[in-house]
Amino acid sequence: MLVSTFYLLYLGISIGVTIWVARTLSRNGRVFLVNGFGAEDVADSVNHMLVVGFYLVNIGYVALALKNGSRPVDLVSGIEFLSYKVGIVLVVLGAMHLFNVFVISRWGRVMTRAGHA
Amino acid sequence: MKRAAVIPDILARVVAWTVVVPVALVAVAPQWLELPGAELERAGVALLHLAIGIGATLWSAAALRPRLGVVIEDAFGRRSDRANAASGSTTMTYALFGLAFTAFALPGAFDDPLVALSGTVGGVLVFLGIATTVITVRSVSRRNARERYRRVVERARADAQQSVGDVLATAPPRYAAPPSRW
Repeated sequence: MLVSTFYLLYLGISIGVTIWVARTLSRNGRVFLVNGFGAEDVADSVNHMLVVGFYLVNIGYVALALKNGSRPVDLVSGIEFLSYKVGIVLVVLGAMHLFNVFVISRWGRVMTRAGHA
Repeated sequence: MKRAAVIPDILARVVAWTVVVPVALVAVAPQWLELPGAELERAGVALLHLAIGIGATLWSAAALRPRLGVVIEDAFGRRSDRANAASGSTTMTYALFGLAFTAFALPGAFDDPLVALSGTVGGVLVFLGIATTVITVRSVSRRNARERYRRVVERARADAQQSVGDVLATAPPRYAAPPSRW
């Protein structure tokens, strides 16, 4: 029962944070994409594909990491388990987010340079 | 179709298949029911892994294709025939690799069926996510390169026209008049 509770808490927190980060990235990233590409349909398509990739990688990692490490046996080890696992998920989310921001800003720079050269 | 109407439709299909597949399996091969508990559990986990992996691959391929089409169409100068062909073949390759990876990543021996299932399905999702991101970055980079090239050619053409215009304005050509007045 204790193990299942911590597993469910881990899944809930991780997937919740993933959805929140993905929505934030897509909402704010769209502005830069529209600015870079000029065409809204292209910007929306690219935005959607980036979000699909983001969801797949992060939810996949959340599921993959479930079996790694030791199982919680009491409340203290459960909190340690939760903290460690959620921490790793946040680092992976941050890395993916950084990658997407880097890619979007690079595209914007390239297209702006091409437009004003 | 509205999003609210799409979700119950998808749910109905998932529920239908979740019922149809086990019933069909038992109907075709009733000896499944006589398998020992551990083997039945392994078979169930393997079937669930295949169902989720195949579903995720086909769903992401279906989500990828129209969006990739828009980006490629823009790169090809709104040539929808080429864009269709390119996005179709890219998505097909993606789906084939995704299905192959799903088939290879079947769970082996395990203690806890749900944890084992979560691990193998997670691996498939990470693979699909990396493939989607790589395809997106690659196709947008190529689209940007084409767009840059198009703009350079456009600018060069405008410059050339302007130069010819300048030359004509300062020194009219010998044959500027109609042939009757040469």
